[in-house]
Amino acid sequence: MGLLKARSGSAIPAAADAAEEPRLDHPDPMLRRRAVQALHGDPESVSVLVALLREEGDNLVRQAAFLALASLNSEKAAHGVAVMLSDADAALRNGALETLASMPTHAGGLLEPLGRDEDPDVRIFAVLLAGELQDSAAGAWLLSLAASETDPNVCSNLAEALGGTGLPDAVPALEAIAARFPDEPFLAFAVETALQRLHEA
Amino acid sequence: MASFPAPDLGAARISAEDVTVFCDFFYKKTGISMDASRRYFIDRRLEERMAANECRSFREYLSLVKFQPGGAEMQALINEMTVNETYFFREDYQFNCLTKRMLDEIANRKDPRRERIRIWSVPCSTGEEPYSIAISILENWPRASDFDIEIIASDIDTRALGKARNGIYQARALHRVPQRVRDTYFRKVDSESWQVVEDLRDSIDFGIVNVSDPVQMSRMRGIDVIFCRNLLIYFDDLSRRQTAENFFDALNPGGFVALGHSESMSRISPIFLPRKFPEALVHQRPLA
Repeated sequence: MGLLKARSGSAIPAAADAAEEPRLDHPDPMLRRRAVQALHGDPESVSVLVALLREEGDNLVRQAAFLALASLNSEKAAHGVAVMLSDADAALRNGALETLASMPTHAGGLLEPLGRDEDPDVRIFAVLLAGELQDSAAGAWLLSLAASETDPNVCSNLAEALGGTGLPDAVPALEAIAARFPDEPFLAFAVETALQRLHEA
Repeated sequence: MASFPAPDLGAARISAEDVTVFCDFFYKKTGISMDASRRYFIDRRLEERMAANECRSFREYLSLVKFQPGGAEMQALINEMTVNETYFFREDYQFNCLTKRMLDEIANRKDPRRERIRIWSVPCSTGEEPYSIAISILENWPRASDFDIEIIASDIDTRALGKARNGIYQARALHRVPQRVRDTYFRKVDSESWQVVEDLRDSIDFGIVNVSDPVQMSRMRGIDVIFCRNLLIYFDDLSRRQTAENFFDALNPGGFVALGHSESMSRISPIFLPRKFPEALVHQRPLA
């Protein structure tokens, strides 16, 4: 025993044959995951993957589904994923955010409708997404939302995101947020921290 | 003696737009995200390949790369664009972790009469890493003779693989190899170079694998430890996530991934468990 001699011709071990056919509804998560992987690159798989994500509890299967959607990098995929930003499941929301951030071309256009959502949590995710996208259009959108946002928790996230933009226009926008909520000390702190970051940038 | 002037293949013929087109193409083929800001590096290498193929424009060269039967020029381009600077026992704390911790965990789950231990070094570059792994095991893992151990080493760069198979190294690559180890596993070729002994060269299974190619990756299964150091830093987020999923599939349950010191699996994908050993932090595919 010890180190084996290299096999001539091929460095690659052969794949073991799967004992069972993968299915999206298979009780074994590894076979559900494999069924998801088989959908990679299929532009018609968006609705199937989104529906699966809403039901699926296994993290491995979820990650594979999010990756399949991210790989599609299409407007349809971005819209499908964005719906999950309002899901009650935090892990699903975070997965959706990461997936959207990986398709900036299509995610950028979603900021506007997401910013109008009645649910402040969805608007917070939109702000986080804009922070991830880090482009000029996302920066401009953050400034426009900051001018009208009335929820202090959204504004707290806006402050953090604006602090990372390096935009000179972020300074008056942040000062306006602080002035809008004089009785929210946590918001004053968030604005102060963001202003400091902008000055240091 | 008179000679024809060399064709004018100056850098001016590669525009910023060409570089962007090239970066997109190279990313789709390899998963490697070339930074367009590295214009000098990219231009120089493209110019060399264009000159070698007597292409008079970038477009002409790109057509050759895309449509050449057999893909020889694509391979030559990959060889030019990838970086192969390394040395023996680089970041050796991970090899210490392998022989002190990981291999024992893996061995305890295996029947030595029927099951082999399989280790994969990717990218293996010019071979310093897989040979370091082999030497570390032979020198430092007391149970090495109880198991069949298979070391697979792969790279996307065929020129680097050729050097790895030859196993000839200069003093610079060997500066961290103790004299006793050098005397045991190398033979002197000349005053400047040493060659890995034949037995050790024959024990590494070198081959070409593109970790971004789903077809090639689907053939990699049953691995116990993957060393993938300083590769993912060249990938974008999506390619990193895809590679993490591919590694998960390639590993046996309980298998480990060792990344480079500046790389963090937790920032790439949540599907691995971080394992903090005294020697190193590695990433484990859950047992169940």
